[in-house]
Order: sequence, then C-alpha cells, then structure tokens
Amino acid sequence: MLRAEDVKAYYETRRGPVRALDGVSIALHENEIVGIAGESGCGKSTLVKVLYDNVASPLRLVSGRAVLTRAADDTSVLAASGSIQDRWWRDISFVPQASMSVLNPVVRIGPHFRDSADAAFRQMGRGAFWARVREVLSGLRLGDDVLSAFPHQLSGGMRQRVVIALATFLDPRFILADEPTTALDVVTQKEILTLLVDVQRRMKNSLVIVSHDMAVHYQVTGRLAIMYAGKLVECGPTSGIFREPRHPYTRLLIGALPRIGQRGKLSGISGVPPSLLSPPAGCRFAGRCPNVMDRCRSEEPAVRSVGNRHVVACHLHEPVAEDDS
Amino acid sequence: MRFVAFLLTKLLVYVLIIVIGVTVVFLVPRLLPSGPVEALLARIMAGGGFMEPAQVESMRVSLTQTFGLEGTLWEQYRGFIERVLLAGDFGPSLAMFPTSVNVLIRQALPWTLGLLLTATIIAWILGNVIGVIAGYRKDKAFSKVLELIAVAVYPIPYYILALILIILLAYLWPVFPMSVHVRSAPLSLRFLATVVHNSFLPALSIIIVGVGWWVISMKALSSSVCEEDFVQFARLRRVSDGTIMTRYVARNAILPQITALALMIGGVFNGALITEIIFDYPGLGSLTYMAVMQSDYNLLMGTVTLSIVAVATATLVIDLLYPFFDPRIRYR
Ligand SMILES: Nc1ncnc2c1ncn2[C@@H]1O[C@H](COP(=O)(O)OP(=O)(O)OP(=O)(O)O)[C@@H](O)[C@H]1O
Ligand SMILES: [Mg+2]
Repeated sequence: MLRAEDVKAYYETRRGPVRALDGVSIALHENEIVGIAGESGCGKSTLVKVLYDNVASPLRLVSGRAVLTRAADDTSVLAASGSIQDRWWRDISFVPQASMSVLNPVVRIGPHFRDSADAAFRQMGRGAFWARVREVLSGLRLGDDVLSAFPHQLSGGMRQRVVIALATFLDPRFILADEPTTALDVVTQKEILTLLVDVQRRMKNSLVIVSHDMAVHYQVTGRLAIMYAGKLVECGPTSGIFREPRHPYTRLLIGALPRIGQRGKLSGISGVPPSLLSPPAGCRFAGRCPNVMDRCRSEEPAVRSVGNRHVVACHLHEPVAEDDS
Repeated sequence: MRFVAFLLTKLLVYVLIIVIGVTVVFLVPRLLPSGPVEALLARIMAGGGFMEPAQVESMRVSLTQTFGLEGTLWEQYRGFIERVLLAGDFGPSLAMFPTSVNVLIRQALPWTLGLLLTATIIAWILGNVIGVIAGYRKDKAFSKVLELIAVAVYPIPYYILALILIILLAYLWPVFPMSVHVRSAPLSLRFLATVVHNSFLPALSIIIVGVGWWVISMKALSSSVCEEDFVQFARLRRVSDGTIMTRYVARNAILPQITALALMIGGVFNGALITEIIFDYPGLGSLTYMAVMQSDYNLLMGTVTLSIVAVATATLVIDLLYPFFDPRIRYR
C-alpha cells in the first residue's frame, strides 16, 4: 500500500506559505486505478510529489508523511518519506506531464532504459534486459526501432508511450501519472489512456491518474479522490461517486460534464477557489457552495465515512445528518 | 542527396567569404592616401642617406613592380587574386626585403599553433569539466570555491596576469625563462623539450584566462540545463548521478561550447598579439605586430588572409560536424 498520512505540505514563498496540501490522507491499494480530480491549483501535483517523496524546496513537508508498505502485509513499512526515493523505479514510478521534454534530446531512446536500471541490467543480463524492454514496448504498440531513434524523431504520442514504457518496464507496484495526456490531442489522449489501463491490467500494479477531466476518471478509474483548495473533499469508488456524489463540489464537477442529448447550457462553477496563502476558516468551498450553511463559514468539516469505502468532508453529511429542524 | 546540396551551398559560402575578405584586404591599403611605395621610400630616406631624384624615381618604379601596383585597379586585382588565392604567394616582405612573406609565415606558424592550439584545447577541456561540476553541484562548497576563483581570475587584465606570472615564475622563482630563447634548430627531442620549457609561461597565462572564461560560461550553461525537464525526470527515475552529469547535463551544455571552440581555433591563426609581445614569442602575433609597425603591407596581407581563411574554415568544419554532436540539427 502507498498512503499519505495527514499530510501538510506548503510551498515557502516570499509572501508566506502556500498551503497546497492541508491535512490530506489517502491510501492506494494494490491492483487498482485511482483518480485524483479537482480544479487547477488545488494541489493534485503536490499530492503526487509527496506520495513520490519528491519534496524539494520550495515545497516543504510540514507534517505527516508518505508511507510505502510491503505488498504482502500492509502494516510493515517498506519506506516512508525520506526513503521512498530508494524505491524509485523499482517499487514506485512516475509518469510526468511534459512528455515532450522529459527525454534527453541528444541521446537515443535505448540508453534511456539502460540509464534508469543499472541494477536490473546487471541482474538480468544484457539479453534478458532488452527482451524485457522490447516486450513492454510492443505491449504499448511500439516497434524495436524506437530504441535507436532520437526523441525528436518520435511523435508526441509515441514519446508519451516511451515514457510509459520507461515507467513500467521494471514492473513497479505503483505508477503515479500526473496528467499523463494533457499535452496530447484528444484522439491520442484516448489511445494513451487505454494503453496505460491495459498495462495496469496486465501487470496488476496500482495506477494513480491525476486529471482535471472528469470524463477520463469516469472511463478508467476504479476509485476517485476529489480535491479542493488543498483538501481532500471526497473519495470513494468512482461508480458510487458518479451515481451519487455527496459533496456539493463533486456534484458541480460532474454536472459540468457534457452529456449526450443534453440541452441548454453546461453548468460551470461560478467563482474562484480561495487563496492558499490565507485560506478561509471553515469549509474552503463555502464561498462557492450552493448549499452553504452558517457553520460552514466557521467550522471545518471533518472527513467522515458515508459507507461503502466512500468518505466526504462536508457538513451536509454529519452523522446526525437529519438536522431538518 | 540532401547532404550533397548542403555541402555545395556551404562550400560556396566558404569560397565567397574568403573572396570577399581577401578583396577587402586588397582594397584597404589602396584607399590610403599614401601608398606602400611612398611609405617605404619615405622610410628609406628618413633612414638617412641622400638620393638623387632620378634614383628615387627608379626605386619607385621597381618597388611598384615588386608590389604589384602597376596597371589599372582591375588588373592589379586579377594579379593579386591569381597570386594570393590560386598560388598562395604573398610576395616579398617589405620590411625584411627580399625574404618572402610565405617564408616568414611558415617560420612563425608552428610556434603560434604549438602554443595556442595546445593552450586553447587544454583550457577548453579543463574549463568545461570544472564548469559542469560547478553547475551540476551548485550547492556544494567546492563548486562555489571553484566558481569564485574563476570569477576572481577572469576579470584580471591579461597583461597584468602575464606580468604577475613572469614576476613569480621567471623572476622571484626563476623556473621558466622570461622570454623565448630558442629560435630554430633541427628537430630533436631536446629541442622540443626546450621549446616546451620556453613556451610554458605564455601557455600558462593563456590557459588561466581561458579556463576562467570556460568555467563561467559552462557553469551558466549547465545550471540552466539542470533545470530542464529531462534532467529532472532522469533524477526521478533514478539515473545515477554520474550519468546525469555526463550524459544528460554535460552532453547538452557542451553544444554551444563546441561552436565557440571551433571559432577560437580559427582565431588561433591571428596569433596572440599581447602574449607574443609580452613573452617575446616568435609567432604570428609578433609578425603581425611587426608588419603594422613597419607598414609592411605584403606581410600584413599575408597574416590577415591566413586568419580569414582559418576562421572561414573553422566555421565550415563546425557546420559539417555539428549534426554529429546534436542529432536535432540536420543537413539543410
Ligand atoms: N513552486 C511553487 N511555488 C509556490 N507555489 C506553488 C509552487 N508550485 C505550486 N504552487 C502552488 O501550490 C498550489 C497547488 O499546486 P499544484 O501544482 O499541486 O496544483 P495542481 O492541482 O496540480 O494544478 P494543475 O491542475 O494546474 O496542475 C497552487 O496554488 C500553486 O499556485
Ligand atoms: Mg498539476
């Protein structure tokens, strides 16, 4: 399991700390696809950075930690923040957003595989190593010839598939993909996502997909986490969330999706998220919430279960929820 | 096919640059109010000795002939091009008459090349290695120290640095000669050793200044490459530090430095004026200096033409070789 435990992670800026993550907990289990959704700037990439233990100035882990546990039993800690880096590319890997520029422009694709797997190369031997690389490439519908190509000779989609091959060929247990398709055209996006999901099905590892596109989450993720202004506001099985979204923000996000046969205007979300430099007291969504109540502006809602592995942080869903009076 | 077209255009440009350069070299002295003949005559007469006007006139005629200053401008130009570009003959030196310019250049060239090529290449390698390390490990103390030294040394005016070296290593602690003693001798190991010993101080002075510049520029280049996504991603996928520094950072940051080196090697054929004067070094710089001081037009044309050809050749070579260093550049 890979989990974030009550993580507070701030960007130190001259104007003060930007509270990009303010008490976020999330757990990723073996063999599942988890989506992370939310508007731009809500802290999705920051959460991925913390989970990947890629916390470097100006980002600072104020409290909490990320923990990677052994596959067999979820209690024995394999690595925690500060040492997850030792597991990089073996147990946990990362697919960045900017596939165009993450490959070394003056080096062919082949050496990229070799470079990130010194230990595996020694262990497997030359023959087995390249056989494995070829196998993964063909799983992503790439021929052997890409190995001798330079990055600029590949299309954007091919490059992103190369990056996915890089992130998966050592069979890591967790793959964190931060907006893996935003740089691509819509058709290629679809193709890449499908391939990514195929890879996950075959390897049975866990895949985290960050995207602000709810349609992507609906299509591929099994579980979904919704973030808003540095907080986790809702998390649960994707089907459950789409069937019955609990948090007003989630409702609005889903409502903003175009549907077949839909008439009239799409309902966007009016207003802007609060500043993370000085977030408001109470619920951070209160300023834009259609169901806002008095206590929302003063009292911060706790994350609580609404059953079926589904949690939400909203005063509408208190255990004594029936306060109709 | 594309390569042939590329090569032909490049060669055409190459020839064009040289012809234009040489034409300018041809024209400039002819635009001066007093020609080389008058200048030389004036010098001979100022050197004492009285000459009959008839003697002066006959000398003028014979000098005009030797300098190729007869006939119309066009005829002169054709003769000049034939002589200089096709035959590579710059005629006699005026100051060291009748020794030919070619002989003078041939004597000076090995000195300059030996000194400057060696010093330039050593400085380039040393400076870039230090620069990459300083740029890649910005936060390490030794990077800061290295950069500090480079920044402190680089702005010292060259002649002051050279004088300091002379005072330290030739005067206070006399391990090296102040100036070059050996001129020429049959080639032997001993002779070579003497040459190296004699050239050590000028070489050191050039290397120190050169290294300073390469360190500063390479550090800036590599630290900006370090911020590139592909370096960050290499770190995230656990590529070893050494590999990132060499294959990712250095390999990309070095590209502009290769161009700079090529141009600098082309410039080597100018000689190093100040170095050669300070260290009394018998190279092309000293030769050019002498040509200027003594209005030796032929010699000046010889050295200037040589450096035009050298810089043009360096540019051509780098154009042809660059795609090997940067796969993104194609022959176009
Ligand atoms: N280097 C930084 N310095 C200061 N603030 C930062 C930095 N990086 C991100 N932030 C701030 O932290 C907050 C969260 O950023 P993050 O990148 O996690 O957002 P995101 O949800 O990934 O957004 P997007 O969908 O646009 O990628 C934002 O408000 C952003 O302005
Ligand atoms: Mg992001």
